[in-house]
Amino acid sequence: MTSDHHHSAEPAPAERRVAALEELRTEPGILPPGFVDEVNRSYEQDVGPRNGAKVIARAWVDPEYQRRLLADSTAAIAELGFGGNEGEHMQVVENSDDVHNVVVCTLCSCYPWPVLGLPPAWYKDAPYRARVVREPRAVLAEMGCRLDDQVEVGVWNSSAEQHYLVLPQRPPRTEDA
Amino acid sequence: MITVYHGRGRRHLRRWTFSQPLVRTVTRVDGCFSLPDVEAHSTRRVLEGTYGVRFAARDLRDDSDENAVVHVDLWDSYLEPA
Repeated sequence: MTSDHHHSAEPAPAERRVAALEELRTEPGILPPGFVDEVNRSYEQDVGPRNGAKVIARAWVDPEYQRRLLADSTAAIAELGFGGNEGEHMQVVENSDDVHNVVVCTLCSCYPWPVLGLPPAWYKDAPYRARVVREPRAVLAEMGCRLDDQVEVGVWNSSAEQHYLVLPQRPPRTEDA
Repeated sequence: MITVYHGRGRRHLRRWTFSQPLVRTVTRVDGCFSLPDVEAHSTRRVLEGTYGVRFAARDLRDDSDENAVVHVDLWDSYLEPA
């Protein structure tokens, strides 16, 4: 082992920078103590695609909930305890035999955080944002979703305040026995 | 029915760039929100109605997929009654 290869308790440079920035915000009282830790904890434990999965699964097994979800998405999602930043104005769009939906933010990376978590890197990439509008079939096929030509692709662009969540069709043979 | 105007300019705009105004149908009315074209350049806040508008993908580019539609949320000042 070389002298510069050791595992010490010294924080990495990035960790030191983050700590310094946090101190600059907490010392003058701009942020309350523990704020950053709480945000980290929340995005690690409370926010993520598992929330959206619960919403979709509930819609699959409860037709009345599905009706409410499509009629007033924000309120129906809040019934399950999900909401907040980037989820204040939700629109759930439904896949069918005739229409397959896909979501993009062509301007930046708007994404429904409360139900899907933080956006993945590919969602923020300029090529995805441009191509999914121009050639959504090819982009979806590259992601493993091949659509028949007669299926219309609906591309939802989060260009204002609405954030979109797709309600996929319930997979076959998943009904209760 | 509304006419959607193209956006060309040096300032921050959320208008899409069309070669000419398009007449299309509003599919959803979403209420009033701060216009980002103003918000990006000042502390002023101008509330405007926003609307969901449905386009054929071919409206936006000639070489877009044929059987595809693009739903775009647009601000009131980008539109005019047709």
